[in-house]
Amino acid sequence: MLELRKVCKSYGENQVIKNFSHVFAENKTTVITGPSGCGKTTLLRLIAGLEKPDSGEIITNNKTFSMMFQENRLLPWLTAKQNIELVAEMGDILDKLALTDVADKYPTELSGGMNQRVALGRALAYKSDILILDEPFKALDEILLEKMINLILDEHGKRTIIIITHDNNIINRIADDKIHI
Amino acid sequence: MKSSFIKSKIFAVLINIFFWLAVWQVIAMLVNREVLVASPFSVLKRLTVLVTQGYFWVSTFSSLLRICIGFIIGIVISIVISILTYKIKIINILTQPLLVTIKSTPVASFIIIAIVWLNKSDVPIFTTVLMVLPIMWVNLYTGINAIDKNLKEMVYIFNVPLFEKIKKFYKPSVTPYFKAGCISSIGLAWKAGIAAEVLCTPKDSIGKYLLESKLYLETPDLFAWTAVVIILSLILEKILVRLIGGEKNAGT
Repeated sequence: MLELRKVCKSYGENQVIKNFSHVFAENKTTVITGPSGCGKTTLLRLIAGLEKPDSGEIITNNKTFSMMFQENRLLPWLTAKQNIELVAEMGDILDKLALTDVADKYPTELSGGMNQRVALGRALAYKSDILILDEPFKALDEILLEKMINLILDEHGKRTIIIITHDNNIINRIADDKIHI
Repeated sequence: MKSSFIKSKIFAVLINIFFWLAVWQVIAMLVNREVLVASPFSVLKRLTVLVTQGYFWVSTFSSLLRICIGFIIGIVISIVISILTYKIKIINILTQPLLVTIKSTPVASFIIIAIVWLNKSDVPIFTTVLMVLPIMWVNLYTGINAIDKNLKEMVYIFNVPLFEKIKKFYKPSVTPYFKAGCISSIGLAWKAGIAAEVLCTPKDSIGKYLLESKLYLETPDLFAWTAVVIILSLILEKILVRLIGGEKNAGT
């Protein structure tokens, strides 16, 4: 179980998260929505332990996290394959993401969409208790979008998933729970 | 074919060598006193004699060994200090005066102090360490500080094992700074090391023979030994660049 109790977070004068409480059900998919700048990414960062709350409690029970950030955050000196292998065993994830042909290419040699898929592949390959995805579906064409949704659906029920997305169609297909902030 | 040769790197090197040898020859002819300016021909003649002597090789390798030891010790200390100063703020604050002192003290002062403290053969090593230390320290500290914070968060989240983290994340991140520091300091280390040898004249050293050639006014010898120093400095720098390499796409 992952629980947030009355969590507050400010950056200077700007209070981004105010008294936020929620219990994330185990092995369920929770979608977070809300307007730009409302603190969705901050919330994910707090959950993942990348930020400390000013007040309140985040109970993670020593769960492990895997995260796809808004930026790809790939190491530029490693190939697509090596970037995934850095954190997990490869398996068939590159194949599932249609990246086999570019496995040995460096991030600078790949398009933005390809790097986005590598970043998703890395997050999926790392066997964590909680999978956090910050806007994983932006700028994808329909075929790739469908592939990525199916990959996330494959994880459904296997681990707790927390996703930020704005697309209602996607939300309806993948969400067990919704949070609007 | 002809135009590609003219544009090539080899051509640029050759034209430079021939041009500056010609300038040197003209100056030597104008001065016309071998004791002041030895001609390229007499230096070459002296060099060809020197390379057949056993003491030439023993001295060259002894000097090279001393400076390499000093260079490696300097790098190791710099790595340790830069990590400590990055991790522990108080160490960073307390070591700043030390860094400023090492950077601004004249090399001659270090050499003279070292002559008082150490064995003759250790003075060039000590001097080299002090030449390498501030450059490598600042470069490595800057490199560690410049590591992308977003990527740091990524390796933290995915719990990358320490060895992998050092090998695949920290090392490639810092390598460009390490490489720049090595290239900047190797020439300086080499020059300071030889200067220390000239002042403390350890047995079997280039510095000792440089001093002797000056004392006996054997200018072709002086020029020949200087040429050896320059050639070795260039070779060392090339070897170093090859050894360090640098990661593909690093810093992009």
